[in-house]
Amino acid sequence: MAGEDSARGNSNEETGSNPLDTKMNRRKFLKASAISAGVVGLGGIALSSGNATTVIETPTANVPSTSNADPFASQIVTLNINGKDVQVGVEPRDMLNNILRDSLGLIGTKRPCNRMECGGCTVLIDDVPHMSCTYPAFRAVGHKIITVEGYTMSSPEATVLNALQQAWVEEDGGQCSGCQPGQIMSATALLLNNQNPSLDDIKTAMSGNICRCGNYAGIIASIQTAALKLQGGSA
Amino acid sequence: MSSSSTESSGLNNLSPTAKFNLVGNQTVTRRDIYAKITGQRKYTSDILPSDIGQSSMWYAGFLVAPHPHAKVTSIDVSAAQAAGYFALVESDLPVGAMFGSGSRAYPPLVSSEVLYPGQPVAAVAAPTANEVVDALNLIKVEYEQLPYVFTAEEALAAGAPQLWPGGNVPGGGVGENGAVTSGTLNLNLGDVDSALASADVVYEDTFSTSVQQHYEILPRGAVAYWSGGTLTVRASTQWAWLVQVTLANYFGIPLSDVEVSTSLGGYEDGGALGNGLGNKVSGEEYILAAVLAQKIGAPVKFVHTRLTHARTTTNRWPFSASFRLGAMNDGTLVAIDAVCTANVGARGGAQGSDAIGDFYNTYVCPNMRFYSIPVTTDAYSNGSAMRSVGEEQGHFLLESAMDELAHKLNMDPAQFRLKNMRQGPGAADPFSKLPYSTIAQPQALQTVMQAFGWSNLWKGWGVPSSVNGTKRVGVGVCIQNAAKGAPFPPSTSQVQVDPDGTVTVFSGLTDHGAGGNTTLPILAAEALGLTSLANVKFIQSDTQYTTNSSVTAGSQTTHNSHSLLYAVEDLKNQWFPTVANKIGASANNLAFGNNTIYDTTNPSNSISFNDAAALLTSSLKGYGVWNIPFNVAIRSTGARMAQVEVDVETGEVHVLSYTFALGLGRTIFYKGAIHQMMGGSVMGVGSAFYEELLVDPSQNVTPTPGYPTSGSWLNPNFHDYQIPTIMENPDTPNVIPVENIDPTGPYGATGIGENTIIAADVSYINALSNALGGYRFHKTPVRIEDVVAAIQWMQANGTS
Repeated sequence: MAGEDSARGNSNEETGSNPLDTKMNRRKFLKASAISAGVVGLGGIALSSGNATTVIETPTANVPSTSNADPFASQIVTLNINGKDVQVGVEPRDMLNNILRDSLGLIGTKRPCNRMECGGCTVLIDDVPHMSCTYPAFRAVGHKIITVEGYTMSSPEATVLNALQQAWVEEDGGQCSGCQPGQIMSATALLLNNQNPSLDDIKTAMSGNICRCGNYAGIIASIQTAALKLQGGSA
Repeated sequence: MSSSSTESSGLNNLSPTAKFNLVGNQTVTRRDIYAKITGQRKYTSDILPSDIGQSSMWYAGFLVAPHPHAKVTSIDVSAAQAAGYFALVESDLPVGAMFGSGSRAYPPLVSSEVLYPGQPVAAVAAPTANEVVDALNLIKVEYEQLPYVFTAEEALAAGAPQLWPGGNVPGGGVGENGAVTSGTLNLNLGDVDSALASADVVYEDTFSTSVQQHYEILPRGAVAYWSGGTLTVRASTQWAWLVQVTLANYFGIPLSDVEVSTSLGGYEDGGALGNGLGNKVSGEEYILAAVLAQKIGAPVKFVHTRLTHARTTTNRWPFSASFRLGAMNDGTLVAIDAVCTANVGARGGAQGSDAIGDFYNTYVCPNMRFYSIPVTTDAYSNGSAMRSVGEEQGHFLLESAMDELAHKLNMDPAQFRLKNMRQGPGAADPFSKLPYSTIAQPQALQTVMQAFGWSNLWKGWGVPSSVNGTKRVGVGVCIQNAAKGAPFPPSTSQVQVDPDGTVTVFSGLTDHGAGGNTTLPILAAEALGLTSLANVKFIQSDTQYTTNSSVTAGSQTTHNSHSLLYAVEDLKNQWFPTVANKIGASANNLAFGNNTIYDTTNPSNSISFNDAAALLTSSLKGYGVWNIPFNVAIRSTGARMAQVEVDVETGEVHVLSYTFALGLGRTIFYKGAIHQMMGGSVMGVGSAFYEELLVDPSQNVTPTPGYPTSGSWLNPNFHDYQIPTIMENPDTPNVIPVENIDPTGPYGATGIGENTIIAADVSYINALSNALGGYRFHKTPVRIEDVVAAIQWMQANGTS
């Protein structure tokens, strides 16, 4: 989790006192306990937090093999982003959003709320929209990640993405546009599965994406225009 | 330098029937949208070290107080420092360096007494974003909780905790332009008491609004770095020059040593805010990023988390108004008497009087009296602009009361407004006596009535438009009349033409989503006779590359960019002699045509724009200065009608359709204008039915570790605060720009902005009232429990 958004995991912001011993912060506390235990079982990490999922889903190649490995250390993993394999260092606490934005400079994916409430960080993982702010980076290893920068690929996803981005310009789909990359990724997933969406289909698919400027009419028109273009094969 | 007079420049075509290339052109698209939706444009939170020519940077965050009112008994940052992080507390800041202005200026970090839940007490920086959390966890703060007050009523009660020396009602007396700074008489016209005594109908009632948050989609923040003694700050600010002055004063360095830009504003790709809505004018983190960068000797990126953004930044303040209204049986309004109480937060930035100008402007009434009482509380930081300064709240209060007065008169509420609203010609502000520069009434209301089909849909008081099983549909109306915001003149800007024909527009204004990136280039390109924006660049909001064009706020970006026409005029005066010489004409007779410059005495004698540019040996820049005129009242007027459906079984409410006509003077950027009108109307759905920051009012409950304490906000996040989603979007929006040419604006434009949300909520709430037997709602938001209460009232009264 990026310190830039420390809404979660920073309990003293709320209470003035950390439920854990604040003389030693959470990370260093756990690190010290793990090392003092001598042998680190993965279960030790799994017990500590929601990172359990991370560990289970991380391919074996990325699991530390030495018995005294630092469970908090950054590891180099390969992520498949917009059709290219990218090697990047990932800490167990990193979400995919941090890696995309802070490590790889793919800032088209935004981080408006960082707690899975607004959809502004939506990316496609195996063509399914996911909020990258809460998607553990390790979990994305071995999966196909597509961001709003994926329009330069040559793939079915990019065809849809391009059609939507063009339509977004024509129909004025965004105002400040801070949420629009996320909106467009949700719309891409919709049109990949449904070439002729009804208004209700659009609303349902887009209901997880907040636009504070309230430009929903523009978003709906953009998706409808892109769908028409794709049906005509003129994306 | 061109004239700074308030007269129109020679290029300002004010003809209502004028034909333009780009102004109002429906095919012009938003200039920066493609760059934004392909990840090529950087918002402040997107800035990476490489964007500012650095190899690395530090990241920073706030530690904020969990209590609404407390003494800070100790702050221990030693563990954070021992771990290699940097921590700041109040004593690390320059002595006397304050944030804000006036008697309630405050240091950006406090170590003595916190006055609201979320007040910053420390800031940290760490070499990675992840470690900011680690650093914050190493700081230990101890508090002694103090009693607190959350509402104006509590704060005014005898024995209430006093937040500031001198009490909870700040200031005193009548300030500039009649603005009240204390519980004071604001305006007294005619004889209100006699008028009420002789009125046929007197209606008394109180209405109130709630604390709301901007929640602009991308949080506020800054990236700061020093190079020698020179400070550069890339901030998500609506006014780079205010930040520049604040920083220069803070560090005691010359203005020339502080460069501030919006995002990467000095570049053509810069200037992205991710919305501002009034919350990005100034910020503690702009200063603290610079302090940390100086201490560390490295660039610092300080972007709010969503939680600290919600809790430390400003809010739309809650407002209540107690009205006594008098009218004659024929519907003539004879008296308005009102006391307005505002909960202005801990720092009291806002005034209780901000909506009163709308109260006395919207309706014509011979007898009016207004008192206002701004009250300080511990509820939140600072009542401030949120898409209008008090006027969004004020219109709910006024238009609820007026609607109910029409009900008491048993008069069609649209006809009541047609009869009593201020309208042209000859409209003037009753307080300042200044004539309006323009007014869209009665056209706006008449247009809406016709387009909406009011006469068919309005079935009378307490009678819904239609009933289908458990679903009832009602219709409602309201009008709006709002001031354009603080102008801070002069506005300056420049237009440059290069020998290759490229035009560059320089403006200190920025674009927080309203479309200024497109509107401003249109204004300049139209004056230059261009038929396309393809060769027009836009450089914005950078203290090094552009000049101060005033704050991007108050719905005045378009209006203030009148200076661009003067810049083109100045460019013309420098350029045309060369062109005249080339084509054998008198410079005085030359004019811009469609992509040409031609001789007005012999139009066939012309030269293409690009060929004329090629005559230049180097780039030529024209300078424009413009002062907003103070001899007229510049106001934005409009009308709305809405159709709202309510399910009396579930209490579920849905805005089915609305019609909204707004006098914007002249439409400049068509797509942007239309979508801003729709967007504001959607945000109004939130204000009407959802948006309200809730606090836990219980006092001094021992906090449970890991959970918010008593006195905390319960919903400082997107999920629980409930911002309208696409599901709440009205299916049938109808927005109608009314072109009531404003001679003070460029091409007659007044502007849009805040006026797109003002009165939106009350139009929906009045319609809901009509659906529910005429039940009057007294507050925003109208939550589902309020709807249920209305349904029960309706059923008990046998009107179902």
